Amino acid sequence: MAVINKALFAAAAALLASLSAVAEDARGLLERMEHVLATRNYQGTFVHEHDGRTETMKIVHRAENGDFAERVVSLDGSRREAVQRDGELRAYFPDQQVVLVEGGPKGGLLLSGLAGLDSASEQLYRMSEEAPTRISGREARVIAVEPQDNLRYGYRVWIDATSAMPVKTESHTVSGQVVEQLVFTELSLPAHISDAALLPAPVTRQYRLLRHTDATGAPGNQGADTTWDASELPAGFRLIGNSTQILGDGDKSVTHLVFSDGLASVSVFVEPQSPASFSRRASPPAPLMTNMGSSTTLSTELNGHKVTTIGEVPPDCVRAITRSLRVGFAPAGRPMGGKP
Amino acid sequence: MNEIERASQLSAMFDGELPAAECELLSRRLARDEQLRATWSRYAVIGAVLRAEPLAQVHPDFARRVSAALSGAAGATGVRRALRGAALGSVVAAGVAGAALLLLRNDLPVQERLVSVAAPVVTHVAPSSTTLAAFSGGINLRVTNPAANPSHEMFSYVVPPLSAESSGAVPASLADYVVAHSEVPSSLARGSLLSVLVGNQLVEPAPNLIFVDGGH
Repeated sequence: MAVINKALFAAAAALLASLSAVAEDARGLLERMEHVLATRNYQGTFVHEHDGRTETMKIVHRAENGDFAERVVSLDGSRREAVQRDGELRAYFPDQQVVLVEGGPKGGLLLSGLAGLDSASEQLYRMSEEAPTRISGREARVIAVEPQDNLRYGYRVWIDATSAMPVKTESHTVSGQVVEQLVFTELSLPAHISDAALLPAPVTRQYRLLRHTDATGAPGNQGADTTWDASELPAGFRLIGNSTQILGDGDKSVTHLVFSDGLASVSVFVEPQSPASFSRRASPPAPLMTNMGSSTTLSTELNGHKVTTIGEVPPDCVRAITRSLRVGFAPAGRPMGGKP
Repeated sequence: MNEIERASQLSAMFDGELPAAECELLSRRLARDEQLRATWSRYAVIGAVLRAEPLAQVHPDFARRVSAALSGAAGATGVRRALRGAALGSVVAAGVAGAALLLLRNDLPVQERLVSVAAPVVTHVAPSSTTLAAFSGGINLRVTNPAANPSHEMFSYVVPPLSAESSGAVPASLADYVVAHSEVPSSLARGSLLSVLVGNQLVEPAPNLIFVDGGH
């Protein structure tokens, strides 16, 4: 009996060791992918599939000498595009002759890795490496991240084994239904990308420029009289950001809360409604939920505030985060803010 | 031969990987197997979608028109021959296109070009006089470079369907929030929403984008 136990123990240990090795290999690959995305130039064409739609886009990503810039251009329709450069993101809408300007994210607009998958999120997602396949004649390794509940999406990423560039990504529900895919149909890693390749195509002389600004701590901003409480968040989600921003035409001051489970992020925008807006209507507007591929938005009204929740999570998660929120107006003389 | 093997054979023919003799046999099978013709049509559409071709280039009712042509007055034998010719023609063309693409790929450093399935390997099958009448304007067949796609990986690709809750479009009133949210650190899917915003042309103008001083 002891011999059998010892043999079983040895087998289990070997199995655990091999599983551990697989996980390390996958993590190593993801780390390499992160590094490539942060340090290499790349450009190409990709197809974005969601909700029965196909959108074709071109991406130019430059990471040279500590300088970072990225341009994403729609090749269909209105030729909209987004350019991230010099610390800001500009979204061009030629059909509306509008440019939206936002403080830019640190990483690329389109592609990012799975760096947020830490020990805390291991309770929420399970990572594994699937059988390698071939895409365009090149070996691709496939990393799958499966959610453990229906409050988040799973991911699958096909990574070029040599360069560690992601060539295809997929988001899916906990039951495996694909909700969004992004496939490169052309991708190259040039040594140099010119400034011209990053210039927006639209001539914006007549465009209206709407700049979003960070008004956190600024005196007199309208977000200062908002209080909030989000103490009953869905499992795994925690507050990672809290700021006050001026959106739109400079007349919309909102509290921007960011919640994350380590992989998925959800923004909640809270803005006080003016008393005039209450008097004009008989009842508050019905909550409006929109689902776009792996992204969900929910707009509703809570205690005199417009609340807009948006994130790359399933509708149930957006609902749960919105429901967890308690908002109100701070009494005079009390500081703004809230608690997670 | 079971259904999976048959589909694999069809895929190989589409990729130009099927030997000519087998092409002939499969062409005969196509002539009498409606399901197989539907599969062929589906491959054409998937190929077009993946390579971002306008879908109008691939007749959506290709399978039906093949069926109509095969049962039409032109005579099944003649049309079968034409179809077989088209299939063989695409194989030859695929070989030429594949060779061209291989030359291109060999000219470039490995790291410089990872994926190039968008290379122009579309083949316009020149229809015979019989098929001209049968297919009313001819067919554009997408022929994939065998070297570029040996595993048929792309053929497993499906377009995520429009669910009951999906709109697929970003309401314009949310444009501000989408752009603001794009600065939030996230993983893997971070750019997808911005991509929807940039790529989608069905967004309604937001009130705050319409009523502009001086207007435009």
